[in-house]
Amino acid sequence: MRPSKPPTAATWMLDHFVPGGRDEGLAGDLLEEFRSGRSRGWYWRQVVGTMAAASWRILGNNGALMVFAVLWSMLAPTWLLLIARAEEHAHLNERFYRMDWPWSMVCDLGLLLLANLVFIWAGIVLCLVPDLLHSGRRGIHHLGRGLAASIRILMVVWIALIAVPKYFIAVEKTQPPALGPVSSYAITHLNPTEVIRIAPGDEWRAHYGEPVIVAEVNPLSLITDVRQTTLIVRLPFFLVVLCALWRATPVRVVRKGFFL
Amino acid sequence: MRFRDLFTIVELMTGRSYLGEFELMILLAVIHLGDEAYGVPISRELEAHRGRDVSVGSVYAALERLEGKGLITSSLGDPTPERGGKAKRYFRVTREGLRQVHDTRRVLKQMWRTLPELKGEST
Repeated sequence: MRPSKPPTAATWMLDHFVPGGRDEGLAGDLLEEFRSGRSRGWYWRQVVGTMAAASWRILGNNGALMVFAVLWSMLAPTWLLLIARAEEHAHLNERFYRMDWPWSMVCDLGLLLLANLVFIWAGIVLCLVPDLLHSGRRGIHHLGRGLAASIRILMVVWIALIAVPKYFIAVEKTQPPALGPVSSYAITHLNPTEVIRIAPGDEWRAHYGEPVIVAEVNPLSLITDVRQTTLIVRLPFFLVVLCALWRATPVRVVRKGFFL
Repeated sequence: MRFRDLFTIVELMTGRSYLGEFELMILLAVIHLGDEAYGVPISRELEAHRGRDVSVGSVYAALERLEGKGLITSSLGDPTPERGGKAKRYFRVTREGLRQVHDTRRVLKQMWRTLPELKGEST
């Protein structure tokens, strides 16, 4: 006997992951078709297709935001290098890694979060300046929505970074083991056994491990650096800025509840 | 092709929004289904004529575009139990939509007429 209930995970994705919100008519159509004899595979394909179609449409409607997110994320490696130099200048890494775990990690990640948010928020504010000037209080509301969304999205991106790209970003290949700048390296090394502890009195010899972000690099030259590693560093910033701007910017609504 | 046809095409492309192939098919399905034009029958109609699966999501995306252009309107029906309590969204073609369908058909017919017989096609 055929199940009358479609795959729960697919329905959940339809409810939560269709950009712009689910349309009741569409959800009902998929359920009606499924109950009339369509397979679970068909239902899954439809849900994925719906998500893709809605995402594509939103991308088409928000080309300017995408261009801005690309341009702003180009600056991310430069920003990270500047933060790294500031860290080095103030001996922050040394201080953090002399602390007991988990304080070493908490302080390191706190600084990382702050540095990331400052960069992302600066981008959001810059992009929304025309809206702020034009819409007044409504513009401030949009800005607040974007800033709040950026924190949630950044958390999701961090979780994804912890889960996925530890082996993708080949930082382990560098010698000596790197205590990288405020970048994806720290995110991917949350495990306390991997934190390099430095005993009080030992000499601090940390290096910037990522091949492209080294202390000698000119920060400005990183803006146009399109090697794979810098692109990977930019990706989380691009995603967060883009998604936060989507959230902040009023979408051109055709009708509420119908995709957008 | 005659000059008159060329002017009609230019007029369609610049003066008003230009109908894509998929959008035109959906408009025709909506017209054909009349009062029963909602997502499921529209998708089935397209599948029957195209001979392959249609993504309901892309049908809705096209319907949304058409509604944005003012070529169709939509309204929610009553929720039904077989649809898990979800309402059907019914679509109806507008006068402007009908006019664009007629215009497109006229242009296409004129263009087909001017073509020489295609290879492998027995007309």
